[in-house]
Amino acid sequence: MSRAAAVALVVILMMAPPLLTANSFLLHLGITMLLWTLLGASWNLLGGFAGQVSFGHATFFGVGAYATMLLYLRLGLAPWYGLALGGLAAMLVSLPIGLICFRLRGPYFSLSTLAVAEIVRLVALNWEALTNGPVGLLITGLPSVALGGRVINWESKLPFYCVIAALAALAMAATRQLSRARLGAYLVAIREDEDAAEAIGIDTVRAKVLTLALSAFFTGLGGGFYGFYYRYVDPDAVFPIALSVEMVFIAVVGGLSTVVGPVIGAVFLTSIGELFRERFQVGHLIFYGLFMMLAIRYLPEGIWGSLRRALAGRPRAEPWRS
Amino acid sequence: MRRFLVLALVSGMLLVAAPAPAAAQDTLKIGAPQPMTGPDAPFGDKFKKAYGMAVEEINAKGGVNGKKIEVIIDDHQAKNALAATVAEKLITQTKVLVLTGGRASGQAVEIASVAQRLKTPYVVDHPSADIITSKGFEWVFRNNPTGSIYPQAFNKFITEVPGAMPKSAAVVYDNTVFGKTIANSAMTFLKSKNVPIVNDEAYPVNSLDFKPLMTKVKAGNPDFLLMVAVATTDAILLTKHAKEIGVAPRAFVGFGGGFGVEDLAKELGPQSQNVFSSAAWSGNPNDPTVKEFYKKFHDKYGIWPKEHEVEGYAIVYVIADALRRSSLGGNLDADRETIRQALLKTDMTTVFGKVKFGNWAGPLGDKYTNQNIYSPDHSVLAQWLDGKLQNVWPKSNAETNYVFPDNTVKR
Repeated sequence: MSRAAAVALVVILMMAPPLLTANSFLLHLGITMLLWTLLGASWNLLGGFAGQVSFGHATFFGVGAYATMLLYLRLGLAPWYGLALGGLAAMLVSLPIGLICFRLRGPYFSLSTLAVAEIVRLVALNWEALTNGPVGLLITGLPSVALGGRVINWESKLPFYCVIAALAALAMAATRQLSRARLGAYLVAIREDEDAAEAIGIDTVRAKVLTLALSAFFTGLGGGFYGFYYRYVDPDAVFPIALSVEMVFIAVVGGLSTVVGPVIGAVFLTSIGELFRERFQVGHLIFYGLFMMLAIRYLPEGIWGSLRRALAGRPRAEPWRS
Repeated sequence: MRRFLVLALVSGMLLVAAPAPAAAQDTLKIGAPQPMTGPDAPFGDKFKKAYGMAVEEINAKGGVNGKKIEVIIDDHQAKNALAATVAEKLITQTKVLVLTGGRASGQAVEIASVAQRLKTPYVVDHPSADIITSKGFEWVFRNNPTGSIYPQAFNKFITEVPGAMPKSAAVVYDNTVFGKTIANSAMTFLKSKNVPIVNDEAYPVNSLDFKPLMTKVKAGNPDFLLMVAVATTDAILLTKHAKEIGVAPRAFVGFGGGFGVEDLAKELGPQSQNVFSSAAWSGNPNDPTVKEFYKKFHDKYGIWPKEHEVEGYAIVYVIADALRRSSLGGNLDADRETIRQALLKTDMTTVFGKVKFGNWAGPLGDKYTNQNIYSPDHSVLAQWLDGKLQNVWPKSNAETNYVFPDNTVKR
């Protein structure tokens, strides 16, 4: 099976569930998986290709969520414009963050992203005039929208499923494009040896800032989608460190710097999370954690990375290191 | 080793994939999203005990209209998105008739939003954020008072006791929905009485050092010191550092769960003397049925019930009462609507107090829907006296006399 065929198959599988089932809970799980796919893929752009491990991606998620919610609640802007503008807002926020944090390398960079995320969370918590502080923002109903003469039913899962599937596919397409573009090659060079990359004339800071902006844009889209789908945002829900860490897990378990990895990671982690929770009720996090440990120990290239290697019959590669 | 691991993993997966034990058939199902793991797990456990005791009692007496009731708890780990997932699952997969629980406000808002969309009654037992019942959700009911109602007993105290109206006040509160709402509510009332607020200070939850803050407060020389703390350690350290720095108001008044737990007296010793706690309501302690419930609960579980247990126990009775008045036909959508109609007509008394849901305006102007109309009475001012927290106001719920002004500090 060629790689393009495999990717096409995965995309078809992503779109299939609404055709197969009308069960709203299953569709809800599907939406959750696709949202995580989008977030994992966004993180992967920077973490996988450029090897820049960010622990602060919740910042962009939260900025996207708040921007979209505020544009709707204050200005009445319809969801799709709000989503795109949420992504742009996250992108804008990423620029100063990138310029500051990318002066640092390796673990220092990772720690600085963690610090910035915490600062942004505190701003959201305290800037009450804008964010409503800890009370958060709640949407009680969505505007009726007609598309091609048909009114969209926001109470059903279908419109949300279509939107998030499209966004996730977009993020995956961006990953694919990046892997083939000049910028992608720069990033791989930076990941392998940043000094050498600089020595051959790559403007490393510019390459990293650009990639962060792209990554932040998609993460912001995810945040905006979260706001509209769950209809309630508060600082603890959209800015926590746990959210950033979860994005890292999705990308790592699925397979770093791969197009399909994040889907596999998201589907896998969401389903085992839900299964363990249903099965064990209280002890489930222990099993979840144990599973993560096994996955990282025995599948360092991620599920998709290992699978792809096995399919191609190549020997076990050196695990990726930052 | 490798083979063993694979085997372990596979058998683990099989275990997971095997069908979960089916719930008993033909019961009336009540769904309760609660934090059973994660940072809030101890609270989930309190509610589990409380629901369990109420369900046992009701079923022992023959259940509701000949059917047994069942509370199905599902873990949301204190995460908002997961709370929405769990609510959705309980409604569409487990097919519960009605929801309760939630524990913290953020998760409860998500559950309320899902319940409203999927047209399933949600009877709130503990979460206190005003927005849960002030956004016009007609499927959401709440028995417990909202955050802005919490300071009512304190307001009554300073209005009704001669000479107790503060000449000035300092207000410090944690930066949470809960802290903010209570502080706003208290300050709105004080301002309406022309009491100057000399300090208005928010702090992050779980701070370790309040000395700089209290130094600032001391400079303002407030007549009353109002402190809001969700976390117990914050309540303890706020009081400790205020006293060490030498803030000398006529009254130290604490709001929020942190000031109502025994650890406060244990950690502070004599420094806890005379500290007021505008405590969460946990039933009228002078009522014999409430006393009997306390004892029964203590006999069963070995702990004395507090607000959470009282609320959880009472809510099962509120729901059972509505179920009893509903004739259910087996069509889930129609049955849920029937139950909602029955809840609208609820008019009863539980260990928590009187319950009747109605639409009315809150102290900060919020327009409540289906909020217990007796909520303003469900606020009590207590005081730490010799290591024990005793209700002192209003008079009808008082266990002893108040000590005011504070005689432990030099002014």
